[in-house]
Amino acid sequence: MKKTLLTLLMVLTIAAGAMAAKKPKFYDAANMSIVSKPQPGKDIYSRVDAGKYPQLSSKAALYLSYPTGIAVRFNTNSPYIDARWVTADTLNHSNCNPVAVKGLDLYIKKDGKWLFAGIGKPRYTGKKHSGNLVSDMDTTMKECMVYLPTFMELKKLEIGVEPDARIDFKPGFVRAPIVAVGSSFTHGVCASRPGMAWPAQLGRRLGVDVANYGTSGIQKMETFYADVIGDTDADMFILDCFSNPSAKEIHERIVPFVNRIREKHPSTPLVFLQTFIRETDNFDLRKRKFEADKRAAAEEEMAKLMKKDKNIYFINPGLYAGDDHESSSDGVHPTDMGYQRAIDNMEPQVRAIMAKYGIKAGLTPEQARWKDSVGRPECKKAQSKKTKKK
Amino acid sequence: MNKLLFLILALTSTYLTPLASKKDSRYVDAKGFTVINRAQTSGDSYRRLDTEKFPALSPKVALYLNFPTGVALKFRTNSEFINAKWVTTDTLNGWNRMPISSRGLDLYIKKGGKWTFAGVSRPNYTGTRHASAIIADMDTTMKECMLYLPLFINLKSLKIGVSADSKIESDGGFERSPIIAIGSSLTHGTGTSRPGMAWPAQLSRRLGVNIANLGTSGIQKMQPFFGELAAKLDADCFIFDTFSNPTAEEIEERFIPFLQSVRASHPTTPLIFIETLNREGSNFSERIRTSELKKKETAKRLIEQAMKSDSNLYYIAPGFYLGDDHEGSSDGTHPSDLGYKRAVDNIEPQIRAILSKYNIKITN
Repeated sequence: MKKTLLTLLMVLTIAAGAMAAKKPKFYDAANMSIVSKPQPGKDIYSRVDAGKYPQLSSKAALYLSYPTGIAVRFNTNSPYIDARWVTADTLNHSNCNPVAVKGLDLYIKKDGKWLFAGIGKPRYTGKKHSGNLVSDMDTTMKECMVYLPTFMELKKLEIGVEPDARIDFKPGFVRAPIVAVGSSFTHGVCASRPGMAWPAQLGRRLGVDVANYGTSGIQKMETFYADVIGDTDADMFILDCFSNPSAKEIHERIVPFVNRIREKHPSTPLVFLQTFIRETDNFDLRKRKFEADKRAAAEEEMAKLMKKDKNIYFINPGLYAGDDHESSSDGVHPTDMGYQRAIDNMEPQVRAIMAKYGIKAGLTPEQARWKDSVGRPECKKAQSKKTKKK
Repeated sequence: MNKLLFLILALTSTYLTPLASKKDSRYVDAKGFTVINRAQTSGDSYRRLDTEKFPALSPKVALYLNFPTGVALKFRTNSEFINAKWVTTDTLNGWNRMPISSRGLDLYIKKGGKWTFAGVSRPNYTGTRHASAIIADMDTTMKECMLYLPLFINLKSLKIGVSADSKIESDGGFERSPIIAIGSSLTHGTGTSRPGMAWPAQLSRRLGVNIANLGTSGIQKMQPFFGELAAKLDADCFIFDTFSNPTAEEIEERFIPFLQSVRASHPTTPLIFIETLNREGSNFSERIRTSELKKKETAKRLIEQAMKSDSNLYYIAPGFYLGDDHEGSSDGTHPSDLGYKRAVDNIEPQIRAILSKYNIKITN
């Protein structure tokens, strides 16, 4: 026991000494490649530039100023990666993990695929955050991608590496071929970290950048969203527009909404997703009916639209969270479990539509999934016995 | 067990709060409701352990074991809505914890014989007094309800709000937990989205058996007081997640004395040890990968040795298996609900087989 303590103390002292000796060198992420930003603009960490759309509601303008879905990319051979970042003041939610709201999420490419590497821990309250994302890596050159916070304005971000290490980056925006539009489900509410919002997950699976226009609670197919989409250059839009509006609003708004988008994108594939079945519906009869009416309205309107427009698609079930009723965190929003099930459900259909339009996925389904022992040789195969659900 | 049925009458004044929608509501004190998933069958129902009976516990362990982690209350009601008002201690939060999970409530209702998720109560982000709707607009048949208490804070009081003209009743008393889980943050439920998603709760619903949760985040290192605690508790089976927090050296030093201390009063009780998870923080960190691997090797070697002379000792490895897509982690160490679900998928059939061998009754 005493020996252990002593050893521990020694290790700590050495570690502290090593850290003090080598302070990381910080680089401004604003000079790095910015990916999955739906529009280029002067506000690097915002999805749309402030003031560009005076017609936006104040809440939509606020949400679109968040860096939701955006990631920065760089290459480095540093054995560790640190970050310092400054967010707006605290805006928190009882159903959100602070890491997802204002933290960072690092992925590193391994064998051609993005592999989770570590997170940037935010402070529970406050604006200034700093921390280590990953350490003790080998010193081969690595491609890194840091997802930015999903629910908070980001004022500044610096990436820290070992002072002698190499770090390469190219400033500028990388166009995202696919842009997701939607509600809190798209925004990523209840995901455990920024990289688990479904557009980010889908992007990694496909090997294609997917930008995120999710705006929690307020995506009701208002005209201003159609204007924002109209200005956005993409090969495909995936729309989660049937989650926030009522059945009545769906009936009233879908046609003018699509028409307005079509003025700017006459033949771009528009892939609509049926909304999630909410777990509050298990016992709440009013909500169950309200949600069923919404889904019926979406089905009815989509059937009509698809007859007239060959480039409109409807994935139904779309945002599908499984049938064990365990995948919701708060009765409305899925957890990572539910989001992953939604991706499992939509991925093959999205791939088929992409293929039809010649939109290239960087990874095949086989390449996209991690298999046993890749990246972690000690990982043994689990029992293949499937458990019967009770 | 006290089988006395007590019907709680409307004592409190009626409210018309924004929580309760249109109908008048009344609040009843949940103290006295049937308590399940607790390690002891008497004591304070809002704490998972009467820690004063275990003076050897370290202050932090005692603090954590005073949380109502894992404990659920059972009641019946025909109210069309259920609200809650509850008081916790001051905020004790974590950057990787969902407030609903650490300070909120999680309601399940039986449907077709199966516990089905019904709704959660949302706590305030800061502060000690919380009020929230859990579920509304239900039909008014009598329903069996199970409400999981917060995972990571002291619960001072809890009142359940139902419609003024409805019935709410509970048998009261404590249901014994045939299984007690002792472990780290993985058992405590760090990274879960709500209290009912910690693995002992998930496993308990799947098997149909009460499981007490004595997970203590970050501090389960097989200290002597944990062995003494397990020795003093009554259960038909213990499940240990004791290889997550200690280092390989600590496992080496402590495992055998820990086991002996538990065995001193449970000579033949099945003891199931679970291998710790593969931390996703080790995808690139050589140091974490090496130290975790060393922990696993040490645990495996020691327990396999011990199993040779103890036929009631079990080791599930891989134990907390998170799948192979590396997406099951919330923060590099702790699983998200996705990871916990996969872990339960992995351990459930093996635990089921062991329980059946010992004729430990499960209902699913």
